Amino acid sequence: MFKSIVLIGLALVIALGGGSWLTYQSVTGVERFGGLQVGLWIAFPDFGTPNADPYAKARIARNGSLPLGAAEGVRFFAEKDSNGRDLIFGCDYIIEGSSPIARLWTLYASSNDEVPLSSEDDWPSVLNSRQIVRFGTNAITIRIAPSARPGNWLAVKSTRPGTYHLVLSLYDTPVATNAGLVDMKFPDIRREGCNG
Amino acid sequence: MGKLLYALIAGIVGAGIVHIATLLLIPTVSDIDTWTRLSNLGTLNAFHRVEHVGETAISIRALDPTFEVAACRFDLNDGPVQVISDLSAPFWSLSIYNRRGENIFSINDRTANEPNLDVIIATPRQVVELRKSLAPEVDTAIIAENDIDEGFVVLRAFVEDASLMPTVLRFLESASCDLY
Repeated sequence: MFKSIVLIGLALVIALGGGSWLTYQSVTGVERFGGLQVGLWIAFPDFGTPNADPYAKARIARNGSLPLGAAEGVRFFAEKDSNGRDLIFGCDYIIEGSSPIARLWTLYASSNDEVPLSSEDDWPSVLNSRQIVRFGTNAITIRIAPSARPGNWLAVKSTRPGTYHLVLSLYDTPVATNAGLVDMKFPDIRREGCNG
Repeated sequence: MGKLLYALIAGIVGAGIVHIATLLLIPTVSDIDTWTRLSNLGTLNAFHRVEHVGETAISIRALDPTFEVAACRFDLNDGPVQVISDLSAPFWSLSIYNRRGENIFSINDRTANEPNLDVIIATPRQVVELRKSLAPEVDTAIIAENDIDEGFVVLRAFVEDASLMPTVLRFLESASCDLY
């Protein structure tokens, strides 16, 4: 008798605890399902639409974001460099490649829970397509570094070591409404060296 | 031993059921969804600025720092809502979200008929009424037909550099979201 109560209790604990834990794990942290990968960059065009899967729907109910609509644009994330290493504070990176096809785009660094990183000292913590230097071609070269660099410089620094990700948002872009995405070339992210 | 194995299997199957049940319940019971966060900003049928940082900022994730954002909650049970402004900005876009925070309609200043913002949000039944009324405004406005009751509309405007900030803020302040 006592043995069966213990066994029923065990089954209940596994069911309730395990089930809740699985749900919690699947709706927190970085989005993983249904992504559209272009080079190092990934987007979730269905996230925050009625077509989203149940995981994305649960996530949107908890994280309080305002996902972009198809006519507004699409947001791409990168969390690795071209060698597959995490993006970490204290390293210099070069973003190089052709400019994304969009009426305008913005680039900023973001913490892993999707809060844009700001710099208190008015350093450029966000760049947009209308303020960058292009050197006469459609190619872009952006340096990410904790201290000033010539050309296009995105300031990313932190007092603590850790990882972050980059957010490239394309606004008014055919990418959001066109399936011919796979042919698109997105800029590369190269690590240039670390000082710490 | 057989009974222990039985209990473990029952637990794992149960965990799957609990996982699916909680996952599907979250959108209904969440008290930290976007609607609830926006309700801290103010009343229905008025645009409220969604600030990035500061004391009045509500925590909205993944907000592009280059954009200024204003949001307005509405309830179509009260009647159709007109979102209108007589100003414009270098790039603006508008999204309509349902109660659950899912993006169901979006336009930008170039997909709109005119550079100025003029959108009427209505249910299919209200659209029929609007067309019947033959009001001249209905001809020029964009009719966003959405079969929803509660929802919110978000207006974003691009701030190319700090010098454009006053223009953009004037644009967002000029936008109204009244019952039509």
